[in-house]
Amino acid sequence: MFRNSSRTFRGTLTAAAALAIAGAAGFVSVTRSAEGLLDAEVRAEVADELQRLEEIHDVRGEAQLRRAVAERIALYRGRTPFYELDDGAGTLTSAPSRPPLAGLAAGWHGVALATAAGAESQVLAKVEVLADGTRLAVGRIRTDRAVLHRVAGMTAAAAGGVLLVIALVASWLVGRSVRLRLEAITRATGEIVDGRFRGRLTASSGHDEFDALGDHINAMLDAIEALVDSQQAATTAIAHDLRTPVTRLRGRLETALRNGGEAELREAIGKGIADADGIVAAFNALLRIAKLDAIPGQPTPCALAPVVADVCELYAPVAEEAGIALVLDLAPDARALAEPALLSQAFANILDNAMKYTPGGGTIAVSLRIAPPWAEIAVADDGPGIPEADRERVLRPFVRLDPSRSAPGSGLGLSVAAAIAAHQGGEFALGDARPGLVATLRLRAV
Amino acid sequence: MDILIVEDDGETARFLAKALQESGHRTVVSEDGAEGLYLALTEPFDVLVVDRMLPRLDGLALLETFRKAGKTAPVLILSALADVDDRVAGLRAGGDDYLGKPFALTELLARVDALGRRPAPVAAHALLKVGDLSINPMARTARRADRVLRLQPREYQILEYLAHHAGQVVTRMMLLSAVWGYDFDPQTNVIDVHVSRLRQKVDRDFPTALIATVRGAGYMLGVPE
Repeated sequence: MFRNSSRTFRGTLTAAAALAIAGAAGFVSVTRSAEGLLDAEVRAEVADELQRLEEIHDVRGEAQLRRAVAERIALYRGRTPFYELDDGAGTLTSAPSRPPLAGLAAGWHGVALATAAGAESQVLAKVEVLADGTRLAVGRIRTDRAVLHRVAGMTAAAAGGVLLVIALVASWLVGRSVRLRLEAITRATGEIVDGRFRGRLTASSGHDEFDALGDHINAMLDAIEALVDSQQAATTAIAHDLRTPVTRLRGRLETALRNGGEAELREAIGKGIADADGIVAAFNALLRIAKLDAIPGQPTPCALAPVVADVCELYAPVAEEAGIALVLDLAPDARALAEPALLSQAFANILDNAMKYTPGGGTIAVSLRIAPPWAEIAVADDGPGIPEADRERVLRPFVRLDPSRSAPGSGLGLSVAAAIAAHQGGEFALGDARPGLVATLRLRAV
Repeated sequence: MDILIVEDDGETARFLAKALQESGHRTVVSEDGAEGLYLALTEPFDVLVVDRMLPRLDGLALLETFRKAGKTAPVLILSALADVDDRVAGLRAGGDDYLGKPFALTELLARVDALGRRPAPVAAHALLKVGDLSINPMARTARRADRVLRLQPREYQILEYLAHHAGQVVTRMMLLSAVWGYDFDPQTNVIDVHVSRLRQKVDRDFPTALIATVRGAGYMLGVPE
C-alpha cells in the first residue's frame, strides 16, 4: 500500500502512533472517571444508611440500634449489603465467618467479602465510632472493577480499531494525492535535468499550495528557457559574426606571408594586432551582454545629472575638434535607480555612436528630464538617422547598418547600452529626431 | 627591477619575460601557483606579475597568502576574466593592478613600471617638480618657469597623474581610470584630445616639450634627454 521509504508512509505511522497514545490516555482517564462516579453513588448510599442507623441510636437508644442492625443482617443474609456492629453486648456481622471490619479505623475501606455462594464481592464500607464507643460499619457492593475494565477495554479497542483504520485510509488517501502531485513535479523537473525546457506543469482545478509551487516552477522554467535562448543567440552571433573579422585577419597575414617585403610584413602585423584587438573587444562585449542578460542588476537611487555631465565632459573636446556642437539640457535634480559605473558606460556608448554618425557642423543634443515613471536621458543627433524598420534590428548584437564598416568599433555599443538599460530595470529605444537619430535611455525615477 | 612572473601558459610567460628583459628588468618565471608562492615568499622581488588561473594554487589564493605573510611588493594580476566583478575580486585579494587578457605589451610594461616605481609616500602637499614645471597639489595649481598655467580641473588631474609617474609611460586606459574613474574603453580617442589640449598649455610657448607621446603606448612626462 505504501512505498516503504516514502515520507508519507513515515508520516502516517507517526500520526497513528500519536493517535494511539492519545487514545490510551483517553481510555485511562475515562475509566478513572467512571470508577469515581460509580463509587460516589455507593458512598452516598452508605452514608445515608449510616445516618439512619445513627439516628436510631441517638433517638431510641443502643438496644434499638442493635435490633435494627440484626434485622437488616437477617433481611440481606447471603447478599451483599453489609452491616457490622460492635457494642458492649458483642459483635453482629453480615459476614458468614469472623467480622471482617473488626479493628479497622473509622473511615472508608474497600474489602473483599466472601458471599454465601462462595464467590467474592468487592465492598466499599465505612466504619464509624459513635459517642459511646459503639463501632458501626455499613458497606455496599462496588461495581466489579474487572468487569468495568473489561467492558471499557473492549469498547476502547473497538473504537480505536475503527479510528486506526479511518486514520490509515485517510492518510493513505492524502499521502497518495501528495505523492501524485509531487511525482508530476518530479517528472517535470526531471525533464529539465535531461535538458528539455519546454514542458510545463499544469495547474489543478483548485488553487492550492501545489499550484503555487507549480507556478513558481513554471516561472523558473520560463526564466531558464529565456536564458538558454539568449545564450544560444549569443553563441550563434559569436560564431556567425566573429568569422568575418577572423577571416579578414587570416587573409591579411596569409597574403603578407606569401608576397610581402619587410615593410609590408610590418604593416600587416600591425593591422593584424588591431584586428585581434577588435575581435577581443567584440567578444568581450558579447560576453558582457550575455552576463547582463543573465543576472539582474542591483540599482540604487543615484543623481543622474553629474553622471551624464561627466561623460559629456569627457567627450566635449572631441566634439569641439570635430566641429560638432554638444548641447546639454539636464534637469539638475533627476534621480533614478542606476549603478553609476554601468550608466556611465551605457551613456558613453550612446554618445560615442552619435559622434560617429554626426557630420562636422552638426549638433548633438543631450537632455535629461523626468517623465514619470521614468527619468529619460535622450541623445539626439542630426546625422543620417536609422530607418524605422531597422531600429529594432540595430540593437541586436553585431548589426551595423553601414555596409562598408568604415566606422571604428565593434558595432556592439548600442547593444551593450540596451542590455545595460534592461539590466537596470529600464528601457532603451531609438527614434526619429527629424532629421537624425534620437536614442533614449529610460531609468526608473525615484 | 626583479620581477616574478607566475603564468602557466609557457608561451605567454616567455614573451612576457622577453619584453620585460628588453626593458632592462630581470625576470624569474614560474608556471605553477605553489612554486610561484614559494619563490615569492623566499626571494625579494620588486614586482609580481601573477595570472589568475594557475595549476595547484589559484592566483588569488597565492596573492592572499602572500599578503598574509606581510609582504608588500606590488602585484599585477593578469586574467582572462576581465569583468568589473573579477577586477574588484582581484584588487580585494590584495592586488595593486589588474590587466585583462589579451593585453598590449606596452600596456603591461607601463603598468609594471608604474607599480615598481610607485611614488614614495611623500606628503600629499609636497610640490611635484619636473624640469621647470612645478605642481602644487594643495592649491591644485601648476606653473612652468615663471608662468602660471590656466588649467581646467581635468587637465590639472591629468597633469598631476603624469607628474606622479614622471619618466614612465602612462597609457590611455591608466589615465581614463585614474582621472575619470572609468573602466570601459571608449572607442573614440577622447583621451588623446584631452592630452593634446593639456600639451597646448604646458608646452606650446616653451623650447622643450615635457609631454611626449609614446607611440602605440601612451604618454610620458619628463625632461627630454
